[in-house]
Amino acid sequence: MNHEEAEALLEAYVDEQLEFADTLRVEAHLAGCEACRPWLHERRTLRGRIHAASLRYRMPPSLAASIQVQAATPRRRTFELQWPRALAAGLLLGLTGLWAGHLLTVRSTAGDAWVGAYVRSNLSSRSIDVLSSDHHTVKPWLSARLPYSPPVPEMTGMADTLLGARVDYIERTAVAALVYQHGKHQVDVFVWPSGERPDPATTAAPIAGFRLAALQLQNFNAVFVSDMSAAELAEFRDRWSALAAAR
Amino acid sequence: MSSSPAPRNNRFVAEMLPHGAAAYNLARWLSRNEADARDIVQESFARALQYFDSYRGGDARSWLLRIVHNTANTWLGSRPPVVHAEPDDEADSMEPTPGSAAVHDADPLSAVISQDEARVLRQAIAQLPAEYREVLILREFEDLAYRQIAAIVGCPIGTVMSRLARARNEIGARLRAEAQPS
Repeated sequence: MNHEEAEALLEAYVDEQLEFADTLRVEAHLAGCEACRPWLHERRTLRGRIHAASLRYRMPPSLAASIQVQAATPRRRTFELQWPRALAAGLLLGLTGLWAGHLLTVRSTAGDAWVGAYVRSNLSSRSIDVLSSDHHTVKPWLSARLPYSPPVPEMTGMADTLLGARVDYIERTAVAALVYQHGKHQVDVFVWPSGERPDPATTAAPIAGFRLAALQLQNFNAVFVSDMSAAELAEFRDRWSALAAAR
Repeated sequence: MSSSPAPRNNRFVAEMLPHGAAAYNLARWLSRNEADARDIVQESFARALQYFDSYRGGDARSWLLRIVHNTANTWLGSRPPVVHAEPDDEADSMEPTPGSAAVHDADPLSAVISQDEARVLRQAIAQLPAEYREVLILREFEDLAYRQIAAIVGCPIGTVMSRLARARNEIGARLRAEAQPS
């Protein structure tokens, strides 16, 4: 490991966030590097000072008490969003969206429905119902709510992160929506078993500024929706596809 | 609607209330004032209760802190930044733990030194851009892994690392400037 490679990992080394192999490689470099050791010492001293100064703010007792009361109070009517209601609300919202789409464009394509779901989820600040980057959490959550268990690649890399998932309701069927982060962009991946709805069609043109990409695996079909460029989205789809097929 | 609310509420209290301190600390550092922090925490718990059915066990603190992150963004995004007339008028809510001023009652000199140290550090952190400040708080005060921070803030793990690096570089630079007799 040369100096530049080690330097890129030092912050994570200080935070003990490296995997074992990388930790050993960084330590091997540190043993012989006169530039890295003072830096490391300074970093650790700084962290020590921050911890020793105990800069945490303590919750005012009156706030703690009022949260306790709030939490122990049975839900108000507005909080009673249980499954039948949520489905009904989702359906109504979906139908309204489709209807509005018809008014605007006369022709409502299937692509509109996916983009609509993507936009609605972002508007409502509720894009994720199960928040986890661990497929061991996301996959069971989805299969408990759907008649199928979609592939959930974690895509653990520096660029792509699995944020979680939700169940969406599109064209009268519930569908798994996986949510990923790529850079500053969110990517929604809708996955369903082949044959359950028409095979996805790729539309090259953006819909309302959003791009779509389609994918057909052996048992599943998927549609990708995001606000990134067509090329970026195609690359994301290919990475996702490789991981999903590997399972 | 017919499901009894009591078990749900009990579960909510048991799972989420223990993380109220973490929620408040994050909200307080993000907003940099007590009034907004109170509102953000209150609103976050209301949202958490509302969405609690979507919580499927696991990392309760991260789940709650993600809600705090989103709530704070909405809350603070809609108003101009607060002007701090008296930035030091807040030490009352700092936690007295070993190493802090309150422990040094017997030694007035070291009490003054550590109070001064805390003031300098607090100002250095408060002056960081919000994105850097947030990851620093989550890392240093909640001891969260890069992966958890990435999920809370909604950014890639590499971004967590680079924000932390910049936050620490800036604090280090401010401390060095402070140490220089001007």
